[in-house]
Amino acid sequence: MNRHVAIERKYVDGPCGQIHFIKAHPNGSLIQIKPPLVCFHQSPVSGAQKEIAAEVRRFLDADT
Amino acid sequence: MADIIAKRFYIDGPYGQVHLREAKPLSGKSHKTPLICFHQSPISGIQYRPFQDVMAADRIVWCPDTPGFGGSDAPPDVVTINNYANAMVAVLEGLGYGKSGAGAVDVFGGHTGSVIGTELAVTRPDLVRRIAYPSVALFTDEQRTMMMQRFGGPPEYFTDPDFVSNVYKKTVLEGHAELDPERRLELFAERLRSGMKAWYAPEAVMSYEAEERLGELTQPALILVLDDMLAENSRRAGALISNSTVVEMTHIPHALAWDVHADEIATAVREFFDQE
Repeated sequence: MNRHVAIERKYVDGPCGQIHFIKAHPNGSLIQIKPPLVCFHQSPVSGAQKEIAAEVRRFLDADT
Repeated sequence: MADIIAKRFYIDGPYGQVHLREAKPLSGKSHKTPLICFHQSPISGIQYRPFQDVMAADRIVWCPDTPGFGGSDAPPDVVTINNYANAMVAVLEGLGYGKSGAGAVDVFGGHTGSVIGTELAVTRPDLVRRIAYPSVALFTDEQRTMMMQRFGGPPEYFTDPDFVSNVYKKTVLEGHAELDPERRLELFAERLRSGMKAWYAPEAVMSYEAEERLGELTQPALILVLDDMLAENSRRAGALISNSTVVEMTHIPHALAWDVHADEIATAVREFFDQE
């Protein structure tokens, strides 16, 4: 695992129930520099298909 | 289903995030002691979902995934039952329970979950008020050897081309007809999530001194003897626990207990947990 990146999994409420997503962001002050990036996966896989090194961006990877 | 609300979330634990599902009465409130349920491996807390929803009619019920199973992060290496119990300490303290929090909860655990619950109850009595077992993983030396031969070491995902299809055939295509096919598929998919570390839990169970620890248990314990490979083991466990009640329910197959017989199991468990 990249020690410069913090990764956590979370849920948010959506119209059909909870939506699961993986949030990755840089450890440190770079988090403020660039706008967050949201990635939508192909089906029938999930957001877990992408191993992201979010060195400079906060990264939101949502399960459809 | 009773009027309940359910949600899934994560709590930080010693190996990363622990995933759990919470169900509680629609009002969001209950004066009854919350219940936490520990599952058998290699499934996850999803195993108990129908039972959880029945029990949640009048209390908060949490079903966490043991580290390395379901949605919970895995430990980096082989662990002990004490390590798993400590992860559940983090969960309960994260939920606000324990000596310096809202006090103790009730525990329910079968197979791997039975020894995690036992270890938690013995090491942290401030966190466990009562404990109920739908089966107890108390093995003889002969059974330990047999179980290690069967479940020890990494699963054969990359060495046996038929491994996954055999499990699929056994649990989904030829699984219990009383379970909805989609439920069988759900449980099959869940067991795959533990991947190559699936053997950590049986390894920990087989290394656990269950006989000694069950004798140290001080909390009231309920043992439900189901139609299960651990039926006789569970009866034997009842004799080791100083304050135990053993209830024979061998008309209920363990594999169907949480789905088909959820109401009946809940009635027995509720009667035990609702005592002062």
